[in-house]
Parts: sequence; C-alpha cells; structure tokens
Amino acid sequence: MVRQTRTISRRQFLKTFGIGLAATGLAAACAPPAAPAQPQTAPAAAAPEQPKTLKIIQWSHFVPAYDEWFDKEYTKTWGEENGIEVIVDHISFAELQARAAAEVAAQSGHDLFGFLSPPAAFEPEVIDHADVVEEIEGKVGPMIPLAKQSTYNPKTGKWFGLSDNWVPDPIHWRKDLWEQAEPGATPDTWDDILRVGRKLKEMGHPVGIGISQDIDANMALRAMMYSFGSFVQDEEANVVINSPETVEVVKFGRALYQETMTSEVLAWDASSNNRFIISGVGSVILNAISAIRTAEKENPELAKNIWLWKTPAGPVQRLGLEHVMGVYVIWKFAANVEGAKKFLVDLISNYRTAFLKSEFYNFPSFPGVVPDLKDLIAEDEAADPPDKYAILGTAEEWATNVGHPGTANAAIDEVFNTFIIPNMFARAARDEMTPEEAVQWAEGEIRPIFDKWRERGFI
Amino acid sequence: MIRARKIIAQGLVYPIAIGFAFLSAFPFLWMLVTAFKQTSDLYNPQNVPFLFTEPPTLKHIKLLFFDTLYPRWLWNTALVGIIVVGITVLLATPAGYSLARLTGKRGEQLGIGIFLTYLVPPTLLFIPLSRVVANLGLQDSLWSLVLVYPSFTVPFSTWLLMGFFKSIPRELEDAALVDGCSRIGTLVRVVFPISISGILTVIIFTFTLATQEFVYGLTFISTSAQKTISVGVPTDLIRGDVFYWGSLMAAALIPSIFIGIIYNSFLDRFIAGITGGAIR
Repeated sequence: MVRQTRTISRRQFLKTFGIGLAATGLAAACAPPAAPAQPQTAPAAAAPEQPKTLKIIQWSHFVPAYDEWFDKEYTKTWGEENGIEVIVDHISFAELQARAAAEVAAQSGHDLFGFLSPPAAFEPEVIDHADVVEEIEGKVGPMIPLAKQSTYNPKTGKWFGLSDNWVPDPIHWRKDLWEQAEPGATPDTWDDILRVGRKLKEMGHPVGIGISQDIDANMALRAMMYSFGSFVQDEEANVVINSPETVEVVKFGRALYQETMTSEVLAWDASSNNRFIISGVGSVILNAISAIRTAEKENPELAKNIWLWKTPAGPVQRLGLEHVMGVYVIWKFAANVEGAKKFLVDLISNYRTAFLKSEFYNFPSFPGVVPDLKDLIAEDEAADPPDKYAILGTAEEWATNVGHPGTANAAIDEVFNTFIIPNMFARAARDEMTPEEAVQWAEGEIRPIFDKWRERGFI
Repeated sequence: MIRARKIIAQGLVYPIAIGFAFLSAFPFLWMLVTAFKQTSDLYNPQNVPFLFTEPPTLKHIKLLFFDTLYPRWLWNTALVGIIVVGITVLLATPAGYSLARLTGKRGEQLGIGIFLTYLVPPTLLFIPLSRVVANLGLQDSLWSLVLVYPSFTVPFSTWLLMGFFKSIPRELEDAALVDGCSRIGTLVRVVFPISISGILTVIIFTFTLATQEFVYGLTFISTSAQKTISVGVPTDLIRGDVFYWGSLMAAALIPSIFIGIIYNSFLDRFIAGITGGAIR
C-alpha cells in the first residue's frame, strides 16, 4: 500500500519534472528573436559614461607576428591613449560565421567583429558605417572601388561594414616545371593553364584549382567565370547565371579538371593549396601569398621556384577576385559604438604598419595610407629575387568583388556560403550532369535565394 | 581434435585482433610521428610517412607549450570535464534508476524521450542557447559550458544507466527492504555498489564528451584564457590556410594519451557497464 502511494508520488514528480524540462528546452529553442537596436541604448542608460572597454574579435592571422603586434602593441597603445581597455579575441576563420550568428542571437558579444568576407546577410544587425567611411576618406583619401562594392548596399543606402584590407589572389606557379613542360610558357591565360597543364599532369605535377565546398574554390571558380564573361547577377541584382558564357566556362572547368587535375581537388579545403604547392607536387594554384610565404619559411629552395602571376585572362577579360576581404562591422547591440568607430578611424588612418606586419598580405582598402606600396613590395627581404611580389602592384586592376558587376549583397553572400558555384562545376566535372544541366541546376538554386532577399528589401 | 580446433581458433583470433588493434592504434601512431616530424619531412610526398627521413624535432611541442596557452586550455578542459562529470552522475544516476525501476512502461517511453533529446545536434541548439547564456551573464565564462554540457551528457548517461539498472535483480533490493533498509538506504548500500561499472562508464563517456565538444565552446567563449582544448587549438594552430600540423597532432595526442590510460585502466568494468543492459 505504501509502495503504491510512493509510486504515484514519483510519477507525479517525474511528470512535473519532465514537463518542466521540456518546457525549459522549448523556451530556449523557441525564444523569439530579439528586437534589433534596443540593447544599443540599454548599456548607455545604465552607464552614462563612455564604456571603458572595447571588445574585438577577428581571425587568427596567418602571420603570428601580426597578431602579436595587433594584440600587444597597437591596441595596447591605442587603449592607453584613449583611456579604453581593448580586449582582442581570435577565432579560426572558418568559424567566423557561426560565432557571428551566435552573437546576433544573443544580442551580445563584441563591439567590433572582423569578417573575412562581406557580411551582407548581417546588414539588419549592424550600424550604418557611413560616418566612419566619410571621416576616414576625409583623412586619407578614397576607398578603392572593390572595397566599396563589397560593403555598400545601394538598395538600402547603407554601409553594412568597413573594409580595412583586401587580399590579392594571384597565381602561384612553379616556374621550373613550366619551363620543362613548355619553355617560355607562363600562366597568363586560362588556355595556357589548360594547354601546359596537360603536360604538367603527365609529368606528375598536376594543376590545383579547387572544385569543392571551400572558400578557395569559391574564389578561383568565380575568377574563371568572370574572365569568361559569366556572372551570378548583373548590376541591378538580377540573376544572370544561366547564360551561354556560363555554359562555356563550365565546359572549360570540366576539361581543366579532367585533363590537368586529379580528384583531390574535389575535396579541397583551406589548407590544400598550400600543402599542394609546398609538397613540390603542385604546379599551379590560385591563392593569397600565404602559400609562398609559408614556402619561404619551410622550404626556401622550393620557394625560389614558386613565382606569382596575375589572375589568368579568359576569352572576355582578365578579372579575378580578392582572396579574402577584411571587413569590420559594429553591431547595433555593441556596448561601445563610439569607441569602435574611433578605433576604426585610427587603425585605418595608420594602416602602413599593419600592411608591413602582415608581410604584404593585408592590402589597404584606403590606398592613400600606403602611398609607397609599389616600392615596398618591389624590395622584399624574404623573396628571391626581391621583386617577386612586384606583380601585386597591379592587383587592383585585375581584382573585383564577389557579386561583380553588381555589389556584394545578402543574396550573393548566401549563394557564396552555400557553395552553389563549386557544386555546379563539380557536377559537370564528375559527369553527373552536362554543363547545360549543371547551369540550370545552379539557376534553380540561386533564384529562390534572390527572391527571398528581394522580398525582404535588401536587394 | 580439441587441441587442433583450439589452435585453428587461435590462428583466426590473433590476426583479427592484431588487425583491429593496428586499425585502432593507427591514428595515434600518425599523431605521434607527425608531432615530431619536421614540416619539410612531412610535406615531402617522396618520404615514407611513418618514418623520419629528416631528424625528429621538438619544435612543434615547444610552439604548443610556449607560444600558445595550451597548458591553460588543458586545465580548463579538465576542470569543465570534472564538474560536468559530477553533475551528470548526480542527475543521471537517480534518473536512470527511477526510470528503470519505478515507472513501468511510461518510464521506458520517458527514457526514450530523454534519449531523443541527446540526438538533437548542438549545431541547431547553439543559437537559442547563446541567448540563454547571454541572459545569465555567462558569456566568456567556463560556467557557460558547465551549464550547457549536461544538456547532452545527462540524457545519454540516464539512458545508459537505465539499461544497466534493469540488469540488477530486483530481488536484491526487496531483500534489503525486508531487512529494514529504507529505499535510499537500499540504493546507497546495495544498488550503487554493484552498479560501479555502469557509473564508471558514465564518468568516462561524460568526460570524453565534454573534452571533445566544439560548437558550444566556440560560440560561448572567445577569450583565449577561457578556451578549452577543442576550441583553443584550432584557433591558434590553424591560421587561415596555414595549418601547424605538427603542433596540431601533438595537441590532440596529449589528452588522448590521458583518456586512453583511463579507458584501459578500467577496461573490464567499462565493458561490463556498456553491456550491462544487454544481458537482461
């Protein structure tokens, strides 16, 4: 009898506990999105004075010395001069999007968030950076068009970010191997790469252009598309992917894969380009200069044979992309919006040291801050010969933004992050679809994304 | 005849066992070799991957311990792991026992329901949970992980222990009750002592789950000094497209050795705990 009573009691307990547990979980999972912009004023109301801290989060730079300088020298000095404690956190670049999404969900986090691609999808969550851009341009001169195209939304008239730097994406090629394959040849055009690449593959040194769900593949394949006159959108953000030019470039990509590359490129990741060229196997990659810089440190003899070239020309033009785009945003919910703005103005106005500390990786988005850039890159201590990096002096002529000829926008951002373009190329390269079918498939994926963002008023 | 069969059986068992052992040990061998290999040796495809063509180096270990906060991340991981183990054992043991013994079929259904919550991936939960963590003021604090990790360790452990408790004969408890023990006394004096294998399994599983968790660690903590191994290591040793393979392998190997020792020290009990529910 007693036992029965206890059983009922436990059941009641379990029922209550179970319902409570489920309700707690559901409450957490279904919490409504926070009202935008509200928290921006809340901390100010609680503390009328300027907040004494400035929290920054950004990627772990490929040059450790850059982070050392930024974290322990620059921000410390700036903080002392402005009476603000600057806290810098780092994160692996692949995790930036997830971290940003979490901060937005929590409506709390860092004052300055450093992205490596235009974060157009976060436009509703960030302040308009127009006044910061205006102030910097007043001090150091105009921003390069590529940076503006990546951070300004003409539809809403909002600067959804501020680019401090952009990174050129040159060809890295093994001059010694190319000389053996075809004396005097250079990777000047995509046709050159296909033609010489066939011989290089036979020599055991294939081409390495990623066709995978990876940022490097995203960039390289778009560069190929642009040079063939193929684009995702036009200047008015209309989807134009399904064009004869896209079919042509997909056919070319298929041929390049099947005749000059190995199946490794279908599983390319962020480290693959570097590993491929430093192993001595790869003959051509398209990458930021982190690849050759790593070779200079790990294998100086090999580095002597790795040379840089402009993005290859296609049948229509020579046009590629930046490799990555450094873009800072100030969240609407940032606790120290004014401090963040001042930090950006001061950092970008004095960007020369950042450029040098990054070993020429971070090209300034406001070129006026490093007027002698071409002279500096023409005489590099680590390079052999010292003017190996001089070709990057023309990078602005052959680099454009993701979303060209339109601007980077939320739809382009989503297309980029869902890897539709690499998937399109991969389906044709693996003969799962004909090039025409692959292009139609891509259009079917891209149109709903544009429709969604157009409906929301962001394009 | 019997002797011949035995020899044949052993002849089959040993190659299979050795094959499995090699397969299991292979990742650790790879980590060990890579941790001491020079980068140029590692990258050269002409070199045998498991041998040192160039002299071994301690460069990667030095980088790990002196140029990163690795010792601190080890400590943070251990601290979080131990606290989460404590919480999990405290919650999952009575929950598992209750569900196994006291609620009949509804208990089984509830047990399955609890286990199903374990299957909801952190990649879906981290966004709503980040609001909870922010509202509690726990961002950038190890306590955020202590709060959140039991959300996946408790359901799994409860389910595991439920099966284990079911394998314990109810007659033992009845005998203790007849002898004058209270329900709590029966649990403490009879049930828990013979459930040590199951509880030990829960401890090891929970500690392993807490050690390897990544998504919550990434989204709730950004301060370097507060990171756990799973977040701190890729942050400092994967710099854009440059991977510090030697240091990465060393960073992964060191906690693996520790966990490997724990697993092997309690191997018999661990197997008993895992298979406890299977013999009922």
